[in-house]
Amino acid sequence: MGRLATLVVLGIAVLLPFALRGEYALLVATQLLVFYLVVLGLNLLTGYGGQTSIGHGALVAVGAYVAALGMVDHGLSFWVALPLAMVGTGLAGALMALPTFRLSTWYFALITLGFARVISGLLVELEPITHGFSGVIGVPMPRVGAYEFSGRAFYWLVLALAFAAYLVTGNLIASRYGRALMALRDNPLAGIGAGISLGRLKIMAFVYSAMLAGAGGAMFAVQKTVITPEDFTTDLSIFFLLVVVLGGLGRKHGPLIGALAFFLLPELLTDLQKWRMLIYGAGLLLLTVYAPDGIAGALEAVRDRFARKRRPAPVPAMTTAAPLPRLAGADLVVEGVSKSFGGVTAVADLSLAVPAGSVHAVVGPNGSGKTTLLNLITGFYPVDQGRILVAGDNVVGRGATAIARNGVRRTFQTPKLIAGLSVIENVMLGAYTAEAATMAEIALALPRARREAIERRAEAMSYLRFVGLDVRADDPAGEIPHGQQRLIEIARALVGRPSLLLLDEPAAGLSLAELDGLCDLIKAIAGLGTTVVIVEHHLDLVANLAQSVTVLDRGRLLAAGTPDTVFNHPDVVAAYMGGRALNGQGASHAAA
Amino acid sequence: MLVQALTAGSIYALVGISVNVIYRPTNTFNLAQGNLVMLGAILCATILGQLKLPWYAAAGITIVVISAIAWVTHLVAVAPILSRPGGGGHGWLVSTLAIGILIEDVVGKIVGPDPQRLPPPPPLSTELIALGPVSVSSYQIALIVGVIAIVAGLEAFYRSRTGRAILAIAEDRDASLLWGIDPTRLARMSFILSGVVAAMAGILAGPVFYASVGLGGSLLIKGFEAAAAGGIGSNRGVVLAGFFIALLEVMAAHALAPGYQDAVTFVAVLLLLLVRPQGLMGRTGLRTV
Repeated sequence: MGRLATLVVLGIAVLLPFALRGEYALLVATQLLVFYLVVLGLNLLTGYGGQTSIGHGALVAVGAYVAALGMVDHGLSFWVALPLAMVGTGLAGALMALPTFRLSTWYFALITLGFARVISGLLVELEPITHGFSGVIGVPMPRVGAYEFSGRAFYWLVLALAFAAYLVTGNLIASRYGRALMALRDNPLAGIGAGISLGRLKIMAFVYSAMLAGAGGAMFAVQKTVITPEDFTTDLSIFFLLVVVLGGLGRKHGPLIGALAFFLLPELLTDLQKWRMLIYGAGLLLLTVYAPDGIAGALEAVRDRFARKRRPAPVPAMTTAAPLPRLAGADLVVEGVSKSFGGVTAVADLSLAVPAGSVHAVVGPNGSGKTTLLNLITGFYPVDQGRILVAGDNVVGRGATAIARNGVRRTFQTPKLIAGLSVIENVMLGAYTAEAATMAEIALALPRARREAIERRAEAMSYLRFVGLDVRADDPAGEIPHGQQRLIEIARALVGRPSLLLLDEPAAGLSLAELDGLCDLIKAIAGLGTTVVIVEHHLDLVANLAQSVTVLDRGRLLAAGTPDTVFNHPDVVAAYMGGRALNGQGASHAAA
Repeated sequence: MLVQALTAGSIYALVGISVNVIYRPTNTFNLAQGNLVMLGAILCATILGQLKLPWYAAAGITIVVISAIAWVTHLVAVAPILSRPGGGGHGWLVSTLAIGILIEDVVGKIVGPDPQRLPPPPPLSTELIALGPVSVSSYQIALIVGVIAIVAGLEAFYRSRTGRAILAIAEDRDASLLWGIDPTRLARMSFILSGVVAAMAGILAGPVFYASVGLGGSLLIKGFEAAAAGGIGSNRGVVLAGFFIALLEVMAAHALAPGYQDAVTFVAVLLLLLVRPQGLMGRTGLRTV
């Protein structure tokens, strides 16, 4: 939706109260905006971040109670109570999200569900504070001096808040945070490889969405003037989930579409009140199974069908290519490293040394421990024994995220791109840790954040051009053929300015022509100055590129040296020509 | 007090185990699990009350019906999502939640909100007898023994050929495809098996709990807490955690008020997970790249 369309929708929303007849219609319209606020945050968390919250109603309850109790029992003004409700709910959200720091996504869903039950129990149980079943009565309307925001004025107040939340949420989603959230949802390993701390990201997303729920709760309390525990049952949480799924998970306008769709059928809902949960359940089931992208997704599909026919030719690349910055290579030393998986030794007492700025290849038959070695160096697997020094620092024991932040970047055997992002956004993900603008600056689109966004895009474009894919910059990553996906992944690793770059079988599945291109590309990467370690089967490629080679067999060092000496080594010849099998010793089956 | 905790703990452990049974091969959960347990208790009580069938026949029918519902759940709400390219994200969370909502609503409309009391199977009774300092009923003893027997039975199953195949796909879905094991078929079997366990949990809980549809959600949470605290994948850990949670609950009810039970156990489990994400007896999973 362009800026014009946004203004038109906003204009309609501003003028809506004049078209509505009667108190009830205005009430419904206000409530729609209150719920929109909540759903906006839920969409960021569940739609973009893939973290399903089944307890959002409880967060709304926290916000509503903090605001209502603050105003009624402690005489706070609305203008203090609203931020207080947001902060309080944000804190509750942080507490709730903290245990999921290191846990899988589904724990999160069940923890939100458990949290919701606990909250609804406590609303009744903590009677001295919450007034138990009788609830909080007489929540006042917001005031400025003698002026009271009621009726239409309150509607506009909620509208202003909702529109601000829409803008802020949009800014966040278009930023590195949005890209990182989609990585968390679609391909967490790619995020870790880019140095993104997914645990912190989850908590940030949850706190943000909790704050919006808190704001929604405060507005809810004011609008209703009376709140009781009955207002915040599990049904409310399910309702929010349904609205966001109906509108379209991870779609910018999903929350608005979902909320509108829901409120355009109020008559249906009042008549069928007693079938409500049945409708919610059936709706959720049918949508998730048959239309997981909701109404917004369906509209997109229709638009794409028409748009495809008159799709413009790819924009020609900018011709003035600034030279890429030099990368300072780091030397890599592996000392006596071992790793076993439940009794199977994958890497045993392995040592190797790679001088800074050189290209080193690790070769060996399937299951010889090549990829395991790469996973040990990048911290994706914990090391059982030994030391790994990058530029003299022992990295053993640091997490994969920390190692990536220190300039060790990698690609994966099967390329891990985020299908929902465009090619260039996938590359920009690699520069996540390089951005200096804070979350607040990004949320408010302050000058530094805007400048940086432009710089990042230009930078990502220069690396895309480096790998020869700048023409596909704006295509969805999901539509890119396999061979090119590898190149995009290499560009994503390079944009992180690595001092050590590890490529995991970059030649697998490439055509001969692509192979030549890859060979030239790796030479060019080495020319930038970074140290390159390449895990590969393809011996011709290795012989062409590498200054030194390590040959592994069943997790052990078989030979090391220059390509010439290594490939003529009798043990290597035997291992590759099947001499071992002829001798009746059998092939290795260690984990790859 | 201890006996009370042991009884409730057995039920939580069973629900946790039924969660585990599905998780191993599919890496999914059935969020309708708590509702299935409650439906098991209600259905068995209704069959006994309305059809006047013998106790064990009613229990048998209940197990068949509940496992059929679990099978249908896999068919309509889980398999289509898992078969999408990329595994469909976590859509199964929402779709199985939806199944739970549907069960709760439909059963609530048919049976009503009143709790159902299921009599214990003959010759057992729920009458308390004094055994030294504690009073316990013969049914409670049978219940605890029964749960331990079910766990032993499951462990024996996982040592069988099919059981080992299930554990194999838990380790590596792609590799098991290469070995000719069909993950979808085993996932379906696991859903059915978890339906059997859920039904048994419901039937066993019936005589000691008041079974009402509204309890499904709280049982799901308790079962999940037991599974998470015990260590996903470890049935013995789950039994241990189930007893701990129930004990904590009883203590919280005594020390504070019954209303704080849920909050206390929830916070305790969260704290445990904060310190030990893999649970009491779980293994740390390997990240696969």
